[in-house]
Amino acid sequence: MRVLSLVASHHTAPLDLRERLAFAEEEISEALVALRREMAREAVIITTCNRTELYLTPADEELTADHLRQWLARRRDVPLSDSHVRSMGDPATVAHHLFSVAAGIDSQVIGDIQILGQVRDAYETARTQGSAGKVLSRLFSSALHAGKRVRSETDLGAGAVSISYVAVELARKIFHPLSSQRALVVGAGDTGELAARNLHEQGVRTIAIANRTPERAHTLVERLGFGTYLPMEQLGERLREFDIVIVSTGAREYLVTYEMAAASAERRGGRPQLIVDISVPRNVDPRINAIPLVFCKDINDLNGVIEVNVERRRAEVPKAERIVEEEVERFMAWHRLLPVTPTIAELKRRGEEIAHAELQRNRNRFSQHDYENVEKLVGSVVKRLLDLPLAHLLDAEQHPEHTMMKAEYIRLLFNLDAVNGGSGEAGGEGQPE
Amino acid sequence: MSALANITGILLPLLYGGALAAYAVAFFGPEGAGRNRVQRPMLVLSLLAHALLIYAETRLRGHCLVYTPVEMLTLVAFTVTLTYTILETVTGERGTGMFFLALALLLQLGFAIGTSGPKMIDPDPQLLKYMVGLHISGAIIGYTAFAVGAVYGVLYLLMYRKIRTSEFGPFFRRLPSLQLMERLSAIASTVGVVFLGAAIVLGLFVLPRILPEFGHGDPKLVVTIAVWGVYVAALLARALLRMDGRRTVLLSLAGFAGATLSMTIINMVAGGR
Repeated sequence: MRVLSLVASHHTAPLDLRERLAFAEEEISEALVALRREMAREAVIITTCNRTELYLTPADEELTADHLRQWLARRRDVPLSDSHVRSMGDPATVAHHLFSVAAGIDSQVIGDIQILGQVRDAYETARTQGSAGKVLSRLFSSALHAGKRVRSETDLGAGAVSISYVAVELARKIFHPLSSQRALVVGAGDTGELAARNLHEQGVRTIAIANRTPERAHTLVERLGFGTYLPMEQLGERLREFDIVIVSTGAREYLVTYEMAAASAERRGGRPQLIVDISVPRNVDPRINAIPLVFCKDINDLNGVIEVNVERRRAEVPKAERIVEEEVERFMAWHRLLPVTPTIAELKRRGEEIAHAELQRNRNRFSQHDYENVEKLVGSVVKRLLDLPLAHLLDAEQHPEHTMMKAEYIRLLFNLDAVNGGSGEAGGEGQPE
Repeated sequence: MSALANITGILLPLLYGGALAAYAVAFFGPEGAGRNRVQRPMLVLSLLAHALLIYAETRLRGHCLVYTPVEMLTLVAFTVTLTYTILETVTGERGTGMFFLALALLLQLGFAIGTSGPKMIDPDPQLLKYMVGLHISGAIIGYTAFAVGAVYGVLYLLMYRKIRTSEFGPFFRRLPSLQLMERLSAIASTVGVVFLGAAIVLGLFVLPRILPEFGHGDPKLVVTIAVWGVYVAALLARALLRMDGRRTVLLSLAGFAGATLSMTIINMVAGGR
């Protein structure tokens, strides 16, 4: 069974092209229907800000990845050259790529956590819609399994790799519980917004936003749907109220001075305070870090954490690759058995039919009790007899080149084609158990 | 019984070593290995073997292991492990296990080296009395709680330094938050103050009646009361004066270090009783 894949990702396509290729959520179902109508037995589409990927089992043996590229170009109405995409037609290569994607190895930020959920969503959409059949279901289930294994067995997704996440990670190492702390975000720009959102996600419920332009702060509070506005002129006076202070503005001077922080620390009754300055140039006097129980960190400190975390993630890639290889091998063992699956099913059925016919012919010779025992015995004998040829067939993992030949012999020896109307095919579709 | 004591005596340091190694691998290893499958079984196995050892040694010696300070080491080690096991079960936090197991291993090795094979000692009948037993038990639990508090205190200071100097290595990643460690240290110290306080009161009441040579100037008593006083002062300062966690921890650590040092010197001078 062939599996085709077409991938346009951050490795191959520029951002503006990726934006045009991406399918909106409501467009995916329609696209899946179109794929199945025009060229595929099964189809799944993964679409994120960094990638649009099509997976399908072709309905037509002549179908190539190039047809797929043309279909996508037509569908999204964009010129799509060979260099913008990666085409794959070998099941092992397709599996390796998809498993690497699910594991976060192929992500722009190595170890990206979100991608596993996005792969799961893509598969669920296709499954619900009936587009994911036996082959792609197995492929995607294996990919999700590989992704989960990489998550749990390696450090690939460990440690924050964005400034605002690192700030929250730092807060988590100082305060307990984080949810009962009070936070202040100074600056209503994108970074401030992201920091506020991260704090809120981590359970911090009291968040104040301060900004030089009150309107921007009010707008941010409205957009966030949580938090309160703190007038900038009250910053010095009310600094002591906050356990976590994140400063991210475009100001060119210190907004939080040493004197402010020292006065605040004195009135905090021995409770620690974290002040994170993610502004360039700095908006917090670095001497504050010398005040007992006030931890003052700037972008350099946080970048240090990010570098360590990225390095740690990179060091985990070989381990993650090994897991992906193992899962690809497992998938391929299953995939190699696909052609002989009908033979296995027919052989079992043939054995059962013969046993059933013989039992029926001699039914009157036994009492009900004896008949049940004989039925069990015959079933067991048939199973034992068929175990040997089945074992040979299932040995395809070791000798894949002999698989089809063995299947042909078995069909001949057990007269399966005559019984099944002489189709003469050892292969076909099927699902190995 | 002798065989059981011998076997568990040899096995226990190995088990503690194994458990310590499992926790250390999880501590310094990748995040995914933060909770490996060996940790918990090794911990429980060590605890069970330790209980067996205490039972066997008690039966063999014919008295509870409180007769000499060296004997008490194994009881303290057991209580430290038990306390940690309970904490791990309740909080699910495994980041500090390595440190408690290192302490337990150290204490157990002290016991193993200090007692060169089981010896039959005729216990002082006075020490077997019920009230004396309570006094000794209270003191052991009290000092163990101080030891647990001290471990959390040291880890607090370590973490404090790591954050202050922006060293975000395995200690930063694995240890619990500063506030949690400070709280756990304070809880352990409070438990220690209560039990040691009870032991002191009982001792002042019971010991003069059964030990004619006992005087209120007894160095052990003076040191114990002084240590207890330091802890009470630290906890009161924390509660009433809102002294910061770092100073409370430092004061408690000073109390524990003072207690350990003084008791060691006194025991060496007084010959162990």
